Amino acid sequence: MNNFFNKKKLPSSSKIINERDLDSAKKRPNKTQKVSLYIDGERVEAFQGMSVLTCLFAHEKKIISKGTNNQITGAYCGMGICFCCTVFVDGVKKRACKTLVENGAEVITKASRNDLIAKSNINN
Amino acid sequence: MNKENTNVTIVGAGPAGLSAAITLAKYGVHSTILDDNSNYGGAIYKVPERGMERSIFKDEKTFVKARELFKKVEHYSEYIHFKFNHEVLGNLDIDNKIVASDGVTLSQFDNKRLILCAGCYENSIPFEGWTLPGIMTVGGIQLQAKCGNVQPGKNVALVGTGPLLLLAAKQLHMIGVNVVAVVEAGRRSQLVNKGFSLLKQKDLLLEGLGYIKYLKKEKIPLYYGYGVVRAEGENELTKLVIAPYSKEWEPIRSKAITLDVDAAGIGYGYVPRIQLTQMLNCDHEYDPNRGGFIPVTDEWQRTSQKGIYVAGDMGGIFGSQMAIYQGEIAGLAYLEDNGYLSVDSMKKEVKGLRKKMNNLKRFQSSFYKFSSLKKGLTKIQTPETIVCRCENVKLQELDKSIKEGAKDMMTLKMTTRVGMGDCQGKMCGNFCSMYMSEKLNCSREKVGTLRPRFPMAAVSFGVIVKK
Repeated sequence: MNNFFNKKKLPSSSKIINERDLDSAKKRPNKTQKVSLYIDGERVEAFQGMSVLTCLFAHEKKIISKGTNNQITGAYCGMGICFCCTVFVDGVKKRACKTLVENGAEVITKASRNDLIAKSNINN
Repeated sequence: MNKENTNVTIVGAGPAGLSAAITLAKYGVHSTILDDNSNYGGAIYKVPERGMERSIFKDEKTFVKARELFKKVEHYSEYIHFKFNHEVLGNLDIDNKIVASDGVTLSQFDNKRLILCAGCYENSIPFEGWTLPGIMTVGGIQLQAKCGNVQPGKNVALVGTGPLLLLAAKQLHMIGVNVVAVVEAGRRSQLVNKGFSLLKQKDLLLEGLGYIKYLKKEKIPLYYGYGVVRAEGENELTKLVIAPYSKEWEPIRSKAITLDVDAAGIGYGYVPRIQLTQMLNCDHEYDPNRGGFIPVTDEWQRTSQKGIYVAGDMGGIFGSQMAIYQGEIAGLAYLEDNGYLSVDSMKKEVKGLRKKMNNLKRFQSSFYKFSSLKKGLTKIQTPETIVCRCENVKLQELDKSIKEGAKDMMTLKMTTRVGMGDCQGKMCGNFCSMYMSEKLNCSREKVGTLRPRFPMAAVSFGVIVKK
């Protein structure tokens, strides 16, 4: 399988497409580019490449999640192990520290771990 | 499920995993690296989120070293295949393949050709108020500064033990945080005693002294022999109470000092992330100086299971430089075992490496007495202190269970729910076994560890159902 996709063995017509694809894949996102997302319905700006947790810290939000017993939690380990920064990102539970910001993403904090569905609260 | 090809599977794209992959690539062996981050580097070589060029730390030693390693990775990119955002969930039983999830689907990976470099996580010591938002691990708070370029708080205290405190303090100060205090539990006198062996690794010693010099210059108070007692605050952290620690690290509460902070980094050592080797049925041993339970390996990083190698902090805490060396050795061992390399040429390759490793080991062993965890840390809690963050289990529930006859970690888990939450006991497990062995006055081996279960990380039902 691996050899089949090897650049050298592909016919010439697809080689061009392949290389172009590779180019766009290699192109790193423009780091200075700003994106805007919603945190609990509030529209905020962030830099591309930032994690959601960094974005929350940048807006001085420390109470991030709720535990099994509805106790409030903040981010703790900051590297994806403790799950204390679990938030809803576009309706899916994700660790804020492991998720990168995306344009138009909807982040809902302080959702209980027992919640299965996030309630959207964007006011348009 | 996606079936994988015949590549060597490497778990973890940190220094150990990358170095193993580079070694394999030199001999034309393809490897697949699984990592739950969106880029390579692991925790220590994590690239700044907004790009290296924009970071004020770009000239720092870690990043210089990281770039050196990344350059090699890019050179061999044809042979190294990354699977980012893939969380390894473990295997269902020994004969099964390893399953990883990217949040959408599951994929399988060979369990007979494995180099495990899962690294470590920080050891958490619970204390009153440690669940308040604002309290993080030192590593977590440092990542916010180093990679996020964001201030985790205005006034920050760093408490714990080990060199990361000093580095984190410097980096936080550089991005404009007011570092209220750096509180090291070890005593200075124990460090001075070891002066001679420290001189063997001059650059590392100078690096450490450089941080201390920076703190002095910026007038950041550095306390030796002090430690955390409790944290206070309504909904968020506002006050952190520290006190001098006795020789056994028991706090002397009458001499406590209150610090006004809105964020704090707490870090008492590291724990090897051994859940995967436990699931793969490798033998383990207990070594307090290397972070606790670690997989048994021979000098070629082979575990007790055939075809499974361990490198880096997962096999005992030695830091990033050692991880690079061990990764190389694990890679060479794989090549030798599979006939790419003769025993003699393998031994020739590592001659210089061994010497460097021994020097590094000697350097680190001189810190054991200074910063190995003392039993006083199990005495800073009150009965009301929450031990398990996920399941909200209090210390008194542990006491009750032990009183009723729980003698090992698995019984403790069944009776109190510690380690049943999202983190699967990674945050409280080490403390619980430390506390239990202290209470029952028996060895850590007897108390044992939590047994990891499939899936090792939280995964949504949707991922499992969709095939």
